Amino acid sequence: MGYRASGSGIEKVGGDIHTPNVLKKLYRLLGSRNASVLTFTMLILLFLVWLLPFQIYGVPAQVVRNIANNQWLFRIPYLLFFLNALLCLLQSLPTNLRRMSHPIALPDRDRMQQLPLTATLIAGAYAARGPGESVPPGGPHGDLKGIKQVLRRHGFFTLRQNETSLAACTNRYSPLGNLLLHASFFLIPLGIFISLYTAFSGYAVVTEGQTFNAGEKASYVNLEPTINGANHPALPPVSFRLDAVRPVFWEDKLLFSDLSAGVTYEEEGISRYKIIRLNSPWYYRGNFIALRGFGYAPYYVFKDKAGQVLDESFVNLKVFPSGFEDSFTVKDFAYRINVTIYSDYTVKNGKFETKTQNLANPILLVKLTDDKNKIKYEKAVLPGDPLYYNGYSLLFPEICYYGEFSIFHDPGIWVVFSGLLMACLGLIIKLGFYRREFYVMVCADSLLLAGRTEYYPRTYEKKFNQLVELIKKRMEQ
Amino acid sequence: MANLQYILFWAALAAYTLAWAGSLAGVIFRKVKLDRVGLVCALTGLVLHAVSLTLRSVAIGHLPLFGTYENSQVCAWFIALFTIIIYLKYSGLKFIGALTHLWVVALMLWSLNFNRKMIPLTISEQSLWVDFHVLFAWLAFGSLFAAWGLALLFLLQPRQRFRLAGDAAELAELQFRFLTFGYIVYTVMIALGAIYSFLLFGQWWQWDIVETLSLVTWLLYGLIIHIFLFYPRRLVLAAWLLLVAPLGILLSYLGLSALGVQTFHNFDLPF
Repeated sequence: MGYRASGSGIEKVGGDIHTPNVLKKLYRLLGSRNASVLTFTMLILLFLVWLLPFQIYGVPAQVVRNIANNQWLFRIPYLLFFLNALLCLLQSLPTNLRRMSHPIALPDRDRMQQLPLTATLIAGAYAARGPGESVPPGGPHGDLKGIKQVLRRHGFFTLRQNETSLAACTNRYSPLGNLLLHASFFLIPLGIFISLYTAFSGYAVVTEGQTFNAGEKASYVNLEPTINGANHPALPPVSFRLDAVRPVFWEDKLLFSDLSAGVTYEEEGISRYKIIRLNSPWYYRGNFIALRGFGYAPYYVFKDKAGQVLDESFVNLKVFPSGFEDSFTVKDFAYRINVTIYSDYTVKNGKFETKTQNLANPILLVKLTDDKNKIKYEKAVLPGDPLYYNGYSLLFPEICYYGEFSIFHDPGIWVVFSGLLMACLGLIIKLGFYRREFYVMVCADSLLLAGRTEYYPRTYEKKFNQLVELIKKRMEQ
Repeated sequence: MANLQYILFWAALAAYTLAWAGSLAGVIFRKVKLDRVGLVCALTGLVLHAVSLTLRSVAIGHLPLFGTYENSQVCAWFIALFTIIIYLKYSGLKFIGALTHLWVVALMLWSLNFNRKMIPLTISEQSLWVDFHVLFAWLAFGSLFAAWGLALLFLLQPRQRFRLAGDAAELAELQFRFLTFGYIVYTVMIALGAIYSFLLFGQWWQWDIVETLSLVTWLLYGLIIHIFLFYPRRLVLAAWLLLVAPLGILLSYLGLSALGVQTFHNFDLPF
């Protein structure tokens, strides 16, 4: 803004260059098609250059997630991408709403001439984009009713008409696709945001016969912290008893053809039974309880020299598949007890192996080690057979299973899934049910026809010509 | 049964190879009859391959969607199917087979590098979510590879020899048609995968390498659609991008196991 001298004195020159114009320009710029292309390109290059190489190299998954979720190098492009989608939505909203509420307007001659497809019908002949002969088809005002019937049969259900002109279009609500698609880009991050502050995830190990109370913190092996690291949201009020874990293997291979857990829980005073499979979690009172894995839980009995039981319990060991070793300690015993379980054992070349992964014929290889990890004693025992060391006895009367459970609660996930559904529906509507227009104008000496389409102009050109022929035949009847 | 399935596999591979050779010869020698031979061979290959896959499905008790051996073959079948659809529906594009059948043959041969033992589905794959996820994946790959062939024809079209393949405007429109169909089903595939990942792992997106590659591919195809819609003067650029984009598909679904990259999406078992 400045000043200049004029006949009437000093006058201002130029407008106010402050905020409103700049904001408007920024609004248009960030919601523009160029910005869309830029954000797409930015994200593609970012993932290709600064994420994929780490993943191919084998960087741990948690580190990769941290890079993709938390680094500002990624967060800024995400923000720009979603902002662009939101602004595209807002900028196109008035037009799209208007196109749905007032889908088509009656044509005028000048506008019709500017459309990409035009034809002129005259009596007994068809001429495209050319001057007509003298006699109009079907009389001076044509047969708009007949033309309407032809158009309706070919999907042009939205029609406007007066005495001398007709406008029709297909898929009146096609702009809805655009709105749904771009709105989904707002919904998905909203869902993620809700999850960050409200989601709960806990991991628990439950032995057969044990009751698990999800409402108690102590029941869990670990709990995922919330975003601010503070107290967890209220733990889910779920409690069940694990009756049995059932792994099923294919032939002698380490391939689960089934892994399920049977649980009993109380609901309104009634005892109910539920089977949870690895591939289908149990949805109960807004929470998911999923079976993630299993392991062996041998029961041990540890006795002193007098035969008195010093300790006995189930112990959950990470010894599956066979060949892996885990260890535990017992009260008043100086040594660590290391165990390997062969679920269906056989002996080959003096070494234990397992024929199948089924717990058909188990044997436990037990090693006692001192605090320097030196093996003091080693023995293979069948379930129920004791081993003796320094007057103590240790036996494993039975081997049960334990189940690894994940209990999670995520209110934001429904918003995310709604967003995904909206994106899919939006694409189907936008790209599959696109808009085509057809216009008719009765003139003194001819019938003007015109049309245009949102996509696939060559295909519509064939369709347009086909409609023109049909209308011509109708006029000649 | 296994032997019959295998014999049919080789018969289909031979038929596809002849189909490709016929189309290619038709281009080189500019003889439409040779291309017709290619079409007949492609149809024969499609039928033989379908029978082979059906026999395998019956023997293993599930759709052939487990492992690179099965997935490569079904992907090849869908590419062959879409190629035949283009050939039959758009008579001006007689030589599309010279391009896309090469992928079919290559994928069939690629599948031989992997374990072809008939294995039942592991529990984590026994779900309708997986079945539909894979079905949409196959549809997407078939359509997007067809778009690849059309893009290549579009770029070659200015050369005299390839003027048999239709004009530029028609090719551009067809590219867009197959691109948009492929993009829609690809989006549905990603959504279904995300839902099942949530059920299986408690997380709908874990930034696994397959997920990253799928997202990059999805973004790239989205970019190409934007170019088609809003930058009609840049169709050559769009065609070049369409040529490059399927690399993401090939790498993510058929290549990672060969590279030994750790991913939960690797279904090739060592037995």
